[in-house]
Amino acid sequence: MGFAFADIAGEPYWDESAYYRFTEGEIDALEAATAEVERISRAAVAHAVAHDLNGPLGIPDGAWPIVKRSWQRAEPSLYGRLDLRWDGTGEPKLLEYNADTPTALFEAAVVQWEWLQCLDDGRGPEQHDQFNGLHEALIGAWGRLGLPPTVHFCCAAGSAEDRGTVDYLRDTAIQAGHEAPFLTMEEIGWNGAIFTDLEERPIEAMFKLYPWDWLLREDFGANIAKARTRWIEPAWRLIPASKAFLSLLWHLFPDHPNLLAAHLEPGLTGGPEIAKPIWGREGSNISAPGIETDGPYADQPRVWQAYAELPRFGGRYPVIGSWIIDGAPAGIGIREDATPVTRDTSRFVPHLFD
Amino acid sequence: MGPMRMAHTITLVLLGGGVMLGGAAMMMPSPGAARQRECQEARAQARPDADQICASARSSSTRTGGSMFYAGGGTGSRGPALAGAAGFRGDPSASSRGGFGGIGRAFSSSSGG
Repeated sequence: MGFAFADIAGEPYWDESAYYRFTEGEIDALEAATAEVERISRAAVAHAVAHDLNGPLGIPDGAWPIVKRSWQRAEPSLYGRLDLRWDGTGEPKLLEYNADTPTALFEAAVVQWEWLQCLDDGRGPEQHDQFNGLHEALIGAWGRLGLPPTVHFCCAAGSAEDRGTVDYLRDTAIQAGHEAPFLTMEEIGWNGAIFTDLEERPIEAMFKLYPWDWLLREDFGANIAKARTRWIEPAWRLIPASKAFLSLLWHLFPDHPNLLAAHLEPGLTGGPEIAKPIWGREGSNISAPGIETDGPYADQPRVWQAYAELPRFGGRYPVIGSWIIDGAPAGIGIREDATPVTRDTSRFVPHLFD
Repeated sequence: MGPMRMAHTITLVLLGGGVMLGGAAMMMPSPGAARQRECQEARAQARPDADQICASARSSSTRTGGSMFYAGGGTGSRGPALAGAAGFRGDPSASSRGGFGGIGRAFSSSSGG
């Protein structure tokens, strides 16, 4: 199947010793919440661009014209993942929006589907279903992004997880009719006018599993504004990718049932809070009641969000990753941890509904 | 009843609080209605993403039952399509390289989230 990262750092990542079972009504609730959060997120991005809110979002002035231009050019998004807290009661709550470099895609789209086909619970796989239209949605989306025939794909060298995710997306692009060569970030060339591949071909469109906040800080970042390359995800995804975006959402949609209160200062939510670095990843440098994690993002500005501890099922704390492909809900993947903080080592657990 | 975490040999019925989720779902707009609303808002605001949103709203508005969750096992399209499409090598003589990737090298794990 090509699942090269079923184990990460010697520990199981894919875990089928258990699975989550939903009703169709519960899946309806998750899908509706995902569509609603996407709706208000797009409205908030439009507001941020219209009012030049890059400062509160932590986006440098030098990068802002690139971000604004990509939004004003209507460069479409391929994918994103909402991380939701939900125990099956009340409304799913947005924890954060992985809008720039979401992973855990291949395992959600392919591996858990194959797991369902092989499930031997005495009822047969045809008696179950799965909220998982990811594969078909991705193939369909490529054809609607207005991209040239060749789309280059890149990520940093050295991460089997990243490479696996990129190779899966290449697969979907190829099935949509694109040529999809791969190169590492370090192999991207600049010839003074355009980005190039290792054969000196111009890179007209580039899928990058590499954060915009890193791209713009690196040596070639200054060339991005000069080049005609189409980037996927587009630069405007920096806006929802900033965790400060959570405070903008709360500001624009206070008391929204799918949001948790969030502010750029501590003590304003009226209860326990979790502090997150605005460009943090994988649960690093988090502060919450009884929780302190370390990591490389300690010097970043933070957002303070009302703390809603993850539900605990069977001794594990799950986060529901709800995928948006081409602007629409398309499926879920669940990661769970033995602690209330979801990290890069948190296990992927499949789901079904019936 | 809330979602259940099922062990393969032991069923764990979770303490979901007993709220009927079907009722909870009915309190929310349907996904199709939400996207139609988003489409209308995007058009009214002349937002650049209106075309993408409205296309999505049209393409997903015909869902019935659970069929849209079907993940396409019958398409035969899940096999690897990458044969012959692997990375390539050429003569990197004209462009300068190495201007991206520096921050990624400083991290030993995934660049994703």
